[in-house]
Amino acid sequence: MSAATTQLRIDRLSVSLAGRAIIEDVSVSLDGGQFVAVIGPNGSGKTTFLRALAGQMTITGTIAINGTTIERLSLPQKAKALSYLPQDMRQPIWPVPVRDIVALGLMPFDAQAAGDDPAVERQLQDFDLVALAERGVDRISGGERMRALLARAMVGPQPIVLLDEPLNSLDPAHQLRVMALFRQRAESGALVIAVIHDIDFAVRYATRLLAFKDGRLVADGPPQDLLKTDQLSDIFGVAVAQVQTLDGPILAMRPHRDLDRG
Amino acid sequence: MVGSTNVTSAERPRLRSAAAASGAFLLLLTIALVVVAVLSLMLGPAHLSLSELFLGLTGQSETAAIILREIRLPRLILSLSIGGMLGLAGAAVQGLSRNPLAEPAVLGTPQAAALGAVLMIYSGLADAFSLALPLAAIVGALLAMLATLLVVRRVGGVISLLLIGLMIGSLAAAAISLILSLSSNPYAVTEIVFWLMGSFTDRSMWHVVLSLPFIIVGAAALFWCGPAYKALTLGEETATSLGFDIWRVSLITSAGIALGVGAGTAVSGAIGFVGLLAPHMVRPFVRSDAQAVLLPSALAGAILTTAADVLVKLIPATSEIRVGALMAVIGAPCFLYLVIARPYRLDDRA
Repeated sequence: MSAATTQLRIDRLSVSLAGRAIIEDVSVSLDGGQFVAVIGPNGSGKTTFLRALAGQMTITGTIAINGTTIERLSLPQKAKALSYLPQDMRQPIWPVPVRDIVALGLMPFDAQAAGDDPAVERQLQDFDLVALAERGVDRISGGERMRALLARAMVGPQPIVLLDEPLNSLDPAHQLRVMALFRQRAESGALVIAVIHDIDFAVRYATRLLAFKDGRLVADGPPQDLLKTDQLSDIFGVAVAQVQTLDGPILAMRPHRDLDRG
Repeated sequence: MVGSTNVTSAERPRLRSAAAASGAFLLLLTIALVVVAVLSLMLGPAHLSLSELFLGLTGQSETAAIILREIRLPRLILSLSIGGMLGLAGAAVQGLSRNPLAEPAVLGTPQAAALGAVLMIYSGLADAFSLALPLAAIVGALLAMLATLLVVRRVGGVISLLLIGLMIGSLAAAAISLILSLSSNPYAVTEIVFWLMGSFTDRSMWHVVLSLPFIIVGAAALFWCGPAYKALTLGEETATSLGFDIWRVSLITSAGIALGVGAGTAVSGAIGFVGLLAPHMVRPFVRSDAQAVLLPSALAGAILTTAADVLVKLIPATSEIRVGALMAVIGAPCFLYLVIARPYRLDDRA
C-alpha cells in the first residue's frame, strides 16, 4: 500500500441530480501527500464532489485511482482504497460504545475487528476520546460524537481519506487538533481531501485548495497563491483580509462593501 | 491528552469484563433455553417426570417414547425454531432499518403467509389435504416477498422496502378480514380465527420437516448479513463506504425473513411480539451493535415462545389457550415496560 504514490485523476467529471447539473466538467489531478481543502459557498457542489469521489454517485467523466476507474472497483476494493466521512450522519440509534464505533472503520480490512484493536486505541488517544471510550454514542455530546466519527474515518490504513465538513460541532481546541492530525496523515503519504467551511483553517493547514462555485472548479492551487489574488473574495462574496500575527497570517472576513476602496 | 495512558490501562479491564459479561449472558440464555425445553417435554395432559423423560428419550420406556416422538418433540422443535427465527428476524429488521420499532411484520411476510393459510381453510382444501395449509402459507410469504421486491426495484432504498412491505402486509390483512366477513360457514370462521391466534398444538414431525429447512436457510441468510447490519450503525452512506452493498443486503434480509418467518407462520399461525420484544430484551446485556444482538435475540425468541407454550399447557382452561394470544397479552406490557425503563445502560454502569 504505497500511499506516497497514490494518484487520483478526475477527468471531465459531471454529476446531475434530477436533471440539474450539480458538478460540471471538473478535471483535476491529486496526489498522495497532499492535504486538499475543498472550499466554496453553500450549494457550490462540494459535498457532491466528495460523494462522487467516494463512488456513491452516478457520474459522467472518469475518476481513476492509480489508473483504475472507480467503476471497475468492487465495493470492498473501494472501501480499502478510500475512507469516507459523509456529512449525513444521523445520530446512531444503538447505544454502541465509542470504542466500537471507531472499530467500524477497520471493517474493510477485518470484518471481526473489535474495539480493543491497537489501531483503535491510537485513534482514541489522537482524538481525545480515551475517557469516553466505553460510553454509548447516544450519550455523548455532538462534538464528542463528531470526534468519534472522525476517529472511525481515520482508523484504517486507506491511502485516500475523504472528509465532509470534519470541523462541524468541534470546539476551537479540537478543530486545531484534528486539522493537525489531517495534515499529519497527508505528510505520511495519504491523500486527504476535506470539505472545509472555515477558510482561515483551510489556508493555514491545507497544502492545496480546490474552490468550487456553481458546480465548477474555479480555483486550484496552494493557499498562498490563492491569497495573492482577489479570487477568494470573488468566490465567497466577502472581503478577505490577512492579519499578521506572531504565528503567521490569519484570515478575517468582512462584508464585501467594506472592501470597496473606490 | 493529559493522563490518557493511565485512563487506557484502567479502561482495558472494563472492556474485557464487558466481553465476559456478554459471554456469561449467552450462557445464561442457553441454560434458560434448556430449562424451558425440558419443561416443555415434561408437561402436557400426561405429565412425565424427569426420569420418565430420560427413559423415553433413550427408548427404554415405550409409552414415554411415543408421547415424546409423536407429540412433545415436534411441538418443542417448532416452538424453539419458530420462536428463534422470529427473534432473529426482529433483530435483523431493526438492524437493517436502524429502527428499534421494526419487526418481521413490517416486511408483510407473516400477514401474507396467514392469507395463504386462511384461503386454504376457507376453500376447504385444508381439510382435504393436510399439507395444503402450510404449503399455501409458504407460497403466500414468497409471493409477498416477490411483489415487494418487484415494486422496490423501481424505487430503491431501505425505507421504501419497509413501507412497501408494510402496505403488502396491510393488504393481506385486509384480504383476511374480507374472507372472514364473506364466509358463510361459521365453522370455517371459527377455524380461521383460532388459526390466526397461533398455536403449536397437534403438530407432527411432518410440520417440522416442512418448516425447519426453510427456517435454517432463512436464519443462515440473516446471520450472513450480520456484519452489514453492524456497518449500518452509522447510516447507509457510511455502510456503503465500508464496502457493503446495502441494496443486496436488503434483498437477502427480506428473502431470509420470507423463507424463515413465512415457513414458521405456515405451521404455527401468527405469533406476534416475539420479533419486537426479543431484541429489546437482550440489547441491554450485550455490546449492542446490530450484529452482536442477532444470536442472543434468536435465543431469547426461542425461550419466550417455548415458555409461552409451556404456560399454555399449565393454565387450566376448557380448551387450550392459543400461544399467539398469550404472547400478545404478556408481550405488550413487557414491551411497555422496556420503553418506559429504557435500561440501555451497559456503557456507564459506574
